[in-house]
Amino acid sequence: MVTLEKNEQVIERIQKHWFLFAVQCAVYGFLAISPLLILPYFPWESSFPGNHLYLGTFLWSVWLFILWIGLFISWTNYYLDVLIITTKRLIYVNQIGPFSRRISISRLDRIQDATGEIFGIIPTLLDFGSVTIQTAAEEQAFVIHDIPNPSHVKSKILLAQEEAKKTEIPELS
Amino acid sequence: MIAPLPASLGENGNPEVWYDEFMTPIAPALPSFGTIPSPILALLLWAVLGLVVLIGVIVSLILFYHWVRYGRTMLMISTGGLIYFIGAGILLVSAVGSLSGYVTSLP
Repeated sequence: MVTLEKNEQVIERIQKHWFLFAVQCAVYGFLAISPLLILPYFPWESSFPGNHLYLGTFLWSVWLFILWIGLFISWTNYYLDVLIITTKRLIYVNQIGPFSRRISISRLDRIQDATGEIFGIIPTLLDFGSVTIQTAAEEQAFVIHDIPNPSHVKSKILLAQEEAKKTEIPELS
Repeated sequence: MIAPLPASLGENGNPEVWYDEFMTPIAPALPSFGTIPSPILALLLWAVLGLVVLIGVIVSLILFYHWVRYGRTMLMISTGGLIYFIGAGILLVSAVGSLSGYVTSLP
């Protein structure tokens, strides 16, 4: 996925919170059963010739096939979205879609500040939110949304940064 | 303001009559495919299925590429991939079977 540098080790891999994927699953589930609520009221006799049960099954199967693909695209986006804290860098892989993928890398020594934020009822109850990482002035701050336990992640990043500074000073001297 | 009940409901007391009388004229006009010759309708439906399958195959290959290239654990990839391909296979068999049945039933 991402090639590590010499003497670089992964401290922690953090995936997005499961709740977002669960919501997407619920939406797909509702969409899957929605034709069962609508199709019985469709005027089949006046619109289509032939056996309507077969036609209904065909249309529903095609609809489910499309949703099935959509569900697995969502799963892939969820599964491949990851924040990696290493002993030297912070790597954020953002899988936006099947054709879109963004990788943001920041060296720990370039990080100036990290903030954890939880906003809303469900995020408070389930403990997930966003982490904002402010890097050196020329670089943009990067925001990672829907991370579980943001305060813990923030502490981990700052701790890793402290550790990185400690190990770099003896190397320089 | 609430609209007064139609007279027919008062006369025969049957809500279904009221529904048929008043809802049928305002129901949206739906397309009728009954006028399309059966071979063309069958061809059209097979073409729809073919297009969906083609898109499905392309997306599946892209997903598979992502899982193999960027996936972290083999267990996750193989489990997810297996569920995906079994589900897609069942749905495709169902679509092909029901479409074959429908085409056979066409007049």
